[in-house]
Amino acid sequence: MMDNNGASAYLKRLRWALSHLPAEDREEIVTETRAHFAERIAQGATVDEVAASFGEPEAYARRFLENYEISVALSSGSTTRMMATALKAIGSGVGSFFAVLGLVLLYLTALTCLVVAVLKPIMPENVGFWTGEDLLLLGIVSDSVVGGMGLVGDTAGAEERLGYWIIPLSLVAGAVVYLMSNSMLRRFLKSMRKERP
Amino acid sequence: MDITSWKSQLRKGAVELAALAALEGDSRYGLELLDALGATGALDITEGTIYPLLNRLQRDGKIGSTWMEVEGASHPRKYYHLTEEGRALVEAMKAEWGRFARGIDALIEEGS
Repeated sequence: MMDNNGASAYLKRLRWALSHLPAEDREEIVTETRAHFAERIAQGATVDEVAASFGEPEAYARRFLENYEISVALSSGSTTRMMATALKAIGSGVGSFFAVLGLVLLYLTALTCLVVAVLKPIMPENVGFWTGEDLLLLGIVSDSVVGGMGLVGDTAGAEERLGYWIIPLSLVAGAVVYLMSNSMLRRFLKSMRKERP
Repeated sequence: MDITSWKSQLRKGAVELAALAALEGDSRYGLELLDALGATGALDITEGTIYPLLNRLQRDGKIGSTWMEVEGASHPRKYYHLTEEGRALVEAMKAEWGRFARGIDALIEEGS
């Protein structure tokens, strides 16, 4: 009797810890765990021994929750959702911070490509690809400040090479970087799930 | 790297293959599968790791499950079986494992 009470205390904590899972998944895990306790106890194990083999209910539940969150993020296909899950995992100490930082930079690069394509028709003089004697500049310049990917310098005396071709080229480059980042993010999430098998 | 952490890395990497391979014949329920894997003495696997692993494999569509009332058992059991996708995966993993083991064995032979 003592044993049954001990198992139900464990199962209660487990159910509580799994409260973020859909009810059906949660009950299945609890039912399966209860059956496992009962069978081991029938074999002669004590509740404490069985509980120890599962670990603390909260830690045990976390493995299921991580699986669930990552699967939901992956199947949603949403970049924001996948990124949020990756950042959360970093917060709880799983996965590499630098991998996520790298991904953030890649997404920013894709975004920059999009901005270049959008700004070109609005301010054609300030967007382009310039080459000059000691200058190689791709990106967006304002009248006084020059910035973008490439060397910083003065566009005076430099020649703009791409014209409106920069729009399709930039869009294609942006799309390629974006798709590449998405596939890397997917792989990152999958590998994170395996870190604690 | 000391032997303990190396061993645990090695065992970790093989768990997925072991679990899938153990389901290639009959379907098994969690405790039965755990005891079968534990009996090999080759893996570090506990209650705390086998069920989340099965949960993940099922979410990924590699295995399926059925609840069954079994005579003599006080509780219904959740039996796991391989899906088509899981069968293909375990075949590919077994082939890769064979290549890997033969390669390393050959190196060890050569060195000794």
